[in-house]
Order: sequence, then C-alpha cells, then structure tokens
Amino acid sequence: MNKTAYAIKEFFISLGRGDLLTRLRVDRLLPYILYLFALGCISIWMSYHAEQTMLKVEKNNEIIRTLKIYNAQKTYELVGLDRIATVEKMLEEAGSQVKSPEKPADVLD
Amino acid sequence: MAKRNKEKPEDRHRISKILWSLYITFLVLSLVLIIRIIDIQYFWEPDPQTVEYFQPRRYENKTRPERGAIMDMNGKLLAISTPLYNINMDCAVLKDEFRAGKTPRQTDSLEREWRAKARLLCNELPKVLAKDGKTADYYYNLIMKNRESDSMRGRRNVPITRNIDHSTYLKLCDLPLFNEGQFKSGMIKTEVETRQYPYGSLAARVIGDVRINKENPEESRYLGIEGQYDYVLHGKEGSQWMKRTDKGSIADPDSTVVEVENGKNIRTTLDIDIQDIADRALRRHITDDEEIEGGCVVVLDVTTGAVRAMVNLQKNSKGELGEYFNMAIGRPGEPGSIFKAVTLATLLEDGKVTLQDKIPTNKGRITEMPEIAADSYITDWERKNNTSSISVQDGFKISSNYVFRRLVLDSYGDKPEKFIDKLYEYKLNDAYDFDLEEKGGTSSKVPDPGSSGWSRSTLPSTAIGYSVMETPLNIVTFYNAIANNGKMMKPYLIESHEENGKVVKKFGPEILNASAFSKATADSLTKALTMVTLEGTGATRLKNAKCTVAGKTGTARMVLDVSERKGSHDPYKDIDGRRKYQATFVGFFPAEEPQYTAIVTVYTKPTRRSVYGGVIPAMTFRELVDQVWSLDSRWGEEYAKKADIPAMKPEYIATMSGTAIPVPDVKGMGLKDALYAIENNGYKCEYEGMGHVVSQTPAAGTQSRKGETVKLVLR
Repeated sequence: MNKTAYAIKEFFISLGRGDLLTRLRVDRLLPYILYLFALGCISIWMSYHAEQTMLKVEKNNEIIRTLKIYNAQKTYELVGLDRIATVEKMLEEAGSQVKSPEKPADVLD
Repeated sequence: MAKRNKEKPEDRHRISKILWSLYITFLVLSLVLIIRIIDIQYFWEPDPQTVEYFQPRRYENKTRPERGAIMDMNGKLLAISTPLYNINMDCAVLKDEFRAGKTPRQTDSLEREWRAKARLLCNELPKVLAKDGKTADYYYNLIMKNRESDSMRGRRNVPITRNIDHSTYLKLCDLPLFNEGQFKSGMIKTEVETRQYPYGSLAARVIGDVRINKENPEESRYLGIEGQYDYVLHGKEGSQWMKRTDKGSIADPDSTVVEVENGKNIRTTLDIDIQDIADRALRRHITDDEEIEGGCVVVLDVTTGAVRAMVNLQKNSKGELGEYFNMAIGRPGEPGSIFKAVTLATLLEDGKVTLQDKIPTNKGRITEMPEIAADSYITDWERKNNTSSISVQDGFKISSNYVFRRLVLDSYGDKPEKFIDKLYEYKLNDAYDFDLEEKGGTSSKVPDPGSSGWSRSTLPSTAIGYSVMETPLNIVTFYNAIANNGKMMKPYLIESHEENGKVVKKFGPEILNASAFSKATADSLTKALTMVTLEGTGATRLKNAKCTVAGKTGTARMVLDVSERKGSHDPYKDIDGRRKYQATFVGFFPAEEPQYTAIVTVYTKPTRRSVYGGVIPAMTFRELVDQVWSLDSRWGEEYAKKADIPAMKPEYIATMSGTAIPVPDVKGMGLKDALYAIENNGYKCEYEGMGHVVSQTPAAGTQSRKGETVKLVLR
C-alpha cells in the first residue's frame, strides 16, 4: 500500500472516528478561527449600520430638498410683494396715507 | 460509578450504535451540503427572475440640475425655479382589499368608513383649492363616480387639481384621508419643475422663456435671457445608482457617481424699480388710446451704458398690453427729428456751425429742391419773431426740418460720404453684439452714397431722420454718448454669472467709441437739448419736471405695409388718408450731471390723427424722470452737521455683573445713548421731553443700588 492510499485510508478512518480535525491539529488554529468569525460578524454589523446611516442620509436629503422648495416658494412670494406697484396697492387697500415719495430722501451728513 | 459498572455490554453497544448512526447521518448531510454548495457556486444557473427578486434592486437616479436664477442689479430675483404640483387621485384605492373582507358586513363597514373620510376631505378641498372654484359636492361626486365604476378609464388617476404651489400641497397633505398617505388615500402627487417670475410680466421679453418641444425640437422656443443664456442657467444633469433596501432606497456605494452641476445665476444690469416705473408710465399713457399699437422704453446708466430698464409693450388682438416682441432692439424705424441731434453733432464736430450761427429762413423753402414743401415751423417763426433768419440753436429747439436740410446741404452737399462716415463712427449702423438678439428682428441701417438707392434727396432726408433705419437702442446709445461727454458706451444687460453668491464670470462696461465727439460738442448738444425741454417742442411736458431734462422730441411717419395701404401709391398713407407714426422722446437727466439716458418710442396703428413725440412719449418720459428722481437719495437734500453729540465713554459700557456701579454722566447725550449707558449699569430709566439730556437725577457718579430709577429730562 503506497503512502497516498494509506493517507486516504487514514483520512476516512479518522473521519469515521470523528477525530479528523484533532488529528489535523486544527485546534491550534481555533483562536484565529474565532477571530475570523468575529471579524465577519463585525463586518456584517458595520454594513448594517452603514446602510442605516445611508438611509438616514437619504431621508435628510429629502427633508433638505423639501425645505429648499419651501424656501424658494416663500422667496418667490416675498419678492413679488416687493414690487412698487404691489406695495402701493397694499397701502391703498390698508387705507394708509403713505404714498410714493415726491422728493428724494434727505441725506444727513 | 457503581451504577456505571452495572451497565450491560449490550447496552453500551446499543448506545455506540445510535451515536455512530447519528454521526454518519450528519456526516452524509454535511457532504451533501458541501457538494450542493460547490454545485450552486460553479454549475447551477439560476432563473434570472429569481435572481432579480433575491438581489437588492438597483436603478439609476438622475438628478436634474437646479436652473440658475436671473437677478436684477441689486440681486432681486427676476426668475427662479420652484416646483408646482399636480394632484391626482386613485379613486379605487383599497376597494379590492375591502371586498376581500372576511364577511360582507366587514366589507361594508370598511367601505363606509373610507367614504366618510372622503366626504370630510371633499368638504375641505374647496377651502384649500379656492382658485379652482369647485364645490365640495363636485369633488365628492367626482371621486364616487370613479370609485363605483369598475370599468371607467382613468379611475385610478383622476385629476383633482393642477399647478398648486408647495404651501397648498402641504395643506392638502393635512386634510382628512390625504393625511393617511398615498396607499390609503389614493393621493398621487406629480412634481413639475416650473419657472416663476416674481415680478409677473415686468421685463418679460428681456427675461424671456424656454419652451421645449420634445416631439419637434426645432419648434422649441428660446427667448430673451432665459433662451440665450440657457447654457449658463441650465447646468448639468447628475446620476447616481441607488439600491432598494427593506426600508427604502440608498445610494449604491460601489457605483460611479456623476455629480450634478447646478446652473449658474445671472445678474443683469436691470433695476427692477426703474423697470416698474417705466412699465407703469408707458402703460398709463397708451392703454386707453386705441390708436396706439405699442411702445418701448429703454433706460441706460450714463457712465457705464448698463441697461437699467427695457420695456416693450404691444397690444394683442384683444387690445391687452403685453411683452410680445423686443422692439427696442429688433424694430428699426426712421427716427425722425430725434436724428437732428446726430446731424447737429456732426456739424458741430466738423466745425461747420456753432449754435449761435444764423441762416436765412427763406420762408422755409430749399430753393434747389422745390419738390420739398415749405417748413411751416419756419413760416411760423418768421411771423412770430418778425425776422428772416434763425440761429442753429433755435432751429433745433423748434425742430425745423428746413434748418437741418439747409445746413447739411451747405456743409456736405458735395461730399455726402463725409456725413455718412460720421454716422458709422457713431455706430448707428451697428448692432454691436448686444447681449440679446430678437428673433425676427432687423438691425439699423444707414444709407450708402455709392448705392443705387442714393438720390439727391437722400442726404437732406437723412439729416432730419428719414432714409435711415435706427432701433431705439441705437438712438439711446448715441444720446448717452452726449450725456457722457462724447464717450460712447456699449449698452449691456448681463453683469455677471454667479455661483453660490460668488462671481464666476464678470462682464462690465465696454467702450464703443472713446471719443465719438469732443466734450465741447457734447456740451453744446446738452445746451441745445436742454433748450428743447425748457422752451422748445418738449417744454409743455418737461419744463417743470423735478429735475432738468435735456432731450429731443421726434415724430416720424412710418412706411405702411402693402396690405395696409389698400391700393394707395403713397408708402406713408393708405387710401383713406391714414398714416402710422413713430413718436419718440429721448434724453437724459439731470441735464447738469446726467445719471440716466432714456428713450420712449410709441408706435401707432394707421390713424388720421397726428401723434407727436412731444405728447405721449414726453409725458411718459416726464413720469419716469419724476419718479426715478424721487426714489434716488443721491439727489436728496444734504443736512450738514450743526453740533457735536458727546461720544460715549468706555466706562459707560458696563455689564450688570458686579455691584454698585456709579450712575453714568449722560448729559448732552441723545436718548438712545443715554438709555444704553444707564440700563447697562443696572439702573432703570425714566425720561421726559425730546432732544438731548439736560439734567439727570441722581447725579452722575452717585452710587445707587441696582434697579434704582434714573430720571432724565431732555430738551
């Protein structure tokens, strides 16, 4: 029986006995296996939290967008009120005596 | 131990067998698992639909750039982009789900509950959507009609309202049923990016618009600044791959990102207040006059040539005024008498005449051209002044055609090209690459002495503003050069391109001709133009303006279209004797130290009435001058300092901390400063009178408790 056949036979025997990993001395690598496992867990955990953060970013982007629209809308409304004709009309409707100036404003030294 | 020893060998053998079987089972299962993993990894071809279902879905999210705003010179927004919303409704929402209720009773109850909420919604809709003028019953019937039918087309997308702003949309979202979200209420929102113009129709043609025809791009419309500078305002689209997760979409970090590049803002030279004043003034004077077709106003800043206002009003078929065509840059016409300033400038600059030179009146006739009718202004002048001569200045003041024909024939009759060359120097044949182009418009034209169209009457005709075609912008640019001591500035409309408040590209004043004519000529012209508004053809309307105006009236008959002539052979008159006029007033103010140059041109429909530059255009100009002058504090009265108010000493500026700060000395201070000093030291203040503090109780330096009152007397 050559070496290879012997090794295969031993492999199956130890597999059958249930001590394959022990014979391969995998137990020495256990800390590393545990470390790798922990890294995997941390990686999954971090991916999950990154995704949650990204979701938060997208939600905040949407809020910012809504606020920008609100700001643009209010700016539009306010700018429209700034027109001389509009101001005069509003003053008239309010019964105000204030009219457009008839001479330039005085300048104080 | 004893118990263990008691175990029979058969039992141990049986346990070993069970464990062995279990081990073999798990071993086989694990082998099957390993083989399956290898199979799936390397050999198995999954169903593509299944793959799509199990993998997070990715899609490309294109981000539209924000279109840049257009601003006036002070940063006031003339055009901005805001979304408007169209609201539709899926009237059959949840209907099938309700039908699938466990019992008919449950189905009925759920449906009734939904309808009750819909009724509440419909009661509120007319209040929020008042502009649509619909009733609560209208909305309810609309929704129910579509809900009850199982076959009606479009029942899942029924229009409720269109083009509502963000505030109205938010109000709708708070209404009963709609506040339960899209999947329960059936509310469908569509966002439509819309260009908004806060000042309405003001400068509408200058600001322009972009209307894209997707089906036929060649028919897309690009007008005004919006159209011509679309490449600046539009920006560049961005894209980002997104992936869907259980809780929403997020940016896919593994994909490439094309950052969106928002459009740049454009700051124009327009002053929206002056634009508003000019717009209202022109409207006021032409709205009710049925024979006026329209008019335009251009206002330039004297030293820079910046366009402060450009109004273009025309009547539509219903007689309503609107900005439909930029006449200021695209409608050249024979300018008439306002061109006499050009002729006078040339004569003065070439040393042919001075303002005081006199010529014989000759009863208003050009002897060598008997076909030209006598100038009635000259015959009136002869009669009123009992004289047979007239000075150049007086000829300009009364806008005599005879005087200017005579002067030009005498000075340039043998060398007309010398006169015409001057017109080229004044850029009167030039569109000078203005910041805007008007589609369908034409440019100014000066006659060519070498062309076949030149005749012996062309030169005297040009001298009085016929045989030349000039846009209002060309004319106002020339007058602006007079106001600017002979320096001709290029009119411009775009001040800068800006991004996030920073200037990224600056434009500015450009000189067209650094010395179109000398300062002496400019001064003489200013004097002559001032006489026009004080004593001449513009005096009636402008003599008592709030500041002195230097300007010129001009009335020109316009050539009628063949269709308008109705068979008449006279190009200026139809068969019924009706004419079309282009009436203008152009000038600058204040004449002593000019700040603005403006032109008002009014176009008539065919009419039997004569429309003069000294009437509607001069009245509009007057209103413009008075209002612009009143709004500008540069021309306000200055009050010199008459007394010194004591400056606040550092010891008065104390804080409330610490104890017993002495009462400060506030004598001589104004009330504002005195209050600041006293209250900062922890005291209360009472005062009487107006002016400055003349006495205080307790006296300065007294140590009082915090909160004590210091009484002041002001006078």
